[in-house]
Amino acid sequence: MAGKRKFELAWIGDKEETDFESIQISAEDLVACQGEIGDFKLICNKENQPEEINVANIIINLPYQEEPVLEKADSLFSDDYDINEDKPVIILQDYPELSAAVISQAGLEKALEIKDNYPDKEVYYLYQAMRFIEDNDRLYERARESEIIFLKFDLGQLKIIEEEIIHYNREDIDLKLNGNILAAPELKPAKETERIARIFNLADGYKEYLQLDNIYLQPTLSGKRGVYLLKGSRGPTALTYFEEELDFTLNEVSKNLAGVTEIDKYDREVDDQKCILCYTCYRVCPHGAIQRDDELNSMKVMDLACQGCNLCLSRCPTNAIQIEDDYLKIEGENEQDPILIICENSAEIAAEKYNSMVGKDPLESYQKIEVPCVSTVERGQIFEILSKYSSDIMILGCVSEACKHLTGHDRCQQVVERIKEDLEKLEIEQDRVHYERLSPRMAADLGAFLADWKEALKQ
Amino acid sequence: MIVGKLKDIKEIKDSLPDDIDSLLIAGCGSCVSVSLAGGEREADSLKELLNLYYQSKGKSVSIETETIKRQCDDEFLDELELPVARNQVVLSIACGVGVQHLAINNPGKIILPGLDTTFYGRTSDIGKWEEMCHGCGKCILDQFAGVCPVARCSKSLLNGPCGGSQDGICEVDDSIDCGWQTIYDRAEELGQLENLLDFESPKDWSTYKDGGVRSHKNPEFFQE
Repeated sequence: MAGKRKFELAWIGDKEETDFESIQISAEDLVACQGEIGDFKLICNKENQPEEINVANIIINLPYQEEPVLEKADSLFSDDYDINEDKPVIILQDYPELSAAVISQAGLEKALEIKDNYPDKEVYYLYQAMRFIEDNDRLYERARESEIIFLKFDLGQLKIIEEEIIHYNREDIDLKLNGNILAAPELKPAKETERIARIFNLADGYKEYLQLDNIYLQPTLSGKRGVYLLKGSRGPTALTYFEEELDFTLNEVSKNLAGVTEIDKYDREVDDQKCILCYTCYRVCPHGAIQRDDELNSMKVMDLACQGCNLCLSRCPTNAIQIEDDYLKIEGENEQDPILIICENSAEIAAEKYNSMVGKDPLESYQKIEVPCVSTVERGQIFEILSKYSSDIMILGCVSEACKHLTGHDRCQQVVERIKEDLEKLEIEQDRVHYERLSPRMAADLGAFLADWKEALKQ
Repeated sequence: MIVGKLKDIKEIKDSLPDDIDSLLIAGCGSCVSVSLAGGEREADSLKELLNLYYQSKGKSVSIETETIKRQCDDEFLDELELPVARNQVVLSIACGVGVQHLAINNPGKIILPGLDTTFYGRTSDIGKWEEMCHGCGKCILDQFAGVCPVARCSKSLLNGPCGGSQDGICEVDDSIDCGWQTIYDRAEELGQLENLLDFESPKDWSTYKDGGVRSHKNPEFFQE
């Protein structure tokens, strides 16, 4: 290694000015990321030699890739645009799809700039929806006063003919506009996004940006502790709220620098004699908390990065990852009672809320297994319960966008489906296994739903 | 690595004798563990499912599991000796090599396969594997920009794609990339397109299936 340096914050991509001791690394130069929050090791390519940089926090701030929507149009973001003396200027927003809200601001500013510089020029502004963030209403008012012509269109009312002529047609207006078009470009993730996702072991999210649509990831969290996403790494809406998101993120970095603690009391140890380095744990971990321990030649769970879902140990093909014994214990007084496997982040919270609302524990008279995430439900575990107990099993997971461990609900559903398939093939009753999704807010639904289920079981 | 897929549970159940009283499920801790099909976790889960099945039929069958590091080498089989001896039937969820190696070492025992050995492949995604090699016995990757026409062209063509290649997709199945498109793209990237103009003579398949059952010796260990 060429030398080690330690920073409070690393910017992957664009850098913003801050008081932190920070370093900027280009996405192209980044080769690997090891370690965890507080002590990441970024391996960079320095003239084809590895350079190791130690950082406590990471912000991935990649630019958007701007893709022109029309071949012959100029970009709304460009300062280098053509103005033809004889032809009008046409600002085109929301074509073919709605642009990010911040584009309204850029479009209005551009329209006013042109009108200020060329007062006699006809300026048309075509849009589907004007978004009034920040001072857009003032800009819009000024634009109207400057006699910029606003034409609102719906899908189907606008046709581009030969890349230069816009045919605008609605009930009362039929207009062919031939002019210099300044169009809002389509924003896409930066070219390096996929490689960066692999380096940080982040799941591809919406339209291949790096963030999944999940309430636990708002606004700039990546799923990997200490790694944050801004602008073109996060998604199209990030452009609109950049300042707020930047403030939030820098505040998080400050908090992290003051100290971070482990998520729970459990130690997750990898037995290096059993680990076969298959990387299954690494691949399934939704929080990028697993890495290879070169000294032991086995995988290891990073204690500060771990968010406690236990998906790694439920998927390890060799059962090499171990945790204390009290995990996954069935609690209950009566072995005849139906069995609930409940997610501590959804059904458990909903049950507590129900209890405080109604004064009755909806989970009473059930046998209960509380899990940090239903993705940890295993086939073998369900088959074992089915053969040991005569009662039915209900698994209560999370709704899709509210899974703290990002994909737990789907993984559990796949496991349950496979269990049912196998039971059907062996002509064993498959209706004893049930799966439902809840959000922590659905307290009343949980109470009613469990009461109905119990009634159905009695019958 | 060797990739495997657990057999359909009905097929496994049907392969077990009707009068079975004890069963050993033998897992393998190497390749098929990596392909999430034949390791300790799968062995345990299969045991629980078969337990449930026999229980539902009112039959008493004792089932145990034992997973060893590799079923294809003698030295690891010691750990299986007693479990094999005390059970009537062995269901091995190793690859076809492991199942047979176990059978060679246990001549009087019924050794059944619980897994289908699918191919030599790579892990391309979580829980997804892709075929990369046929084990033809004579590697020609150097001539095809590092992409194997034998394994990755559905017809194993050596002199360019067939007419069924459409937009980079193979006519055999929409989910298969055309191997020749992949060869061409990589050769173009490496500046090796010229190499593809050479006429490739028919491949000598005697190192593959045409030469009969294959074996080879490392000369450092054997004298002629």
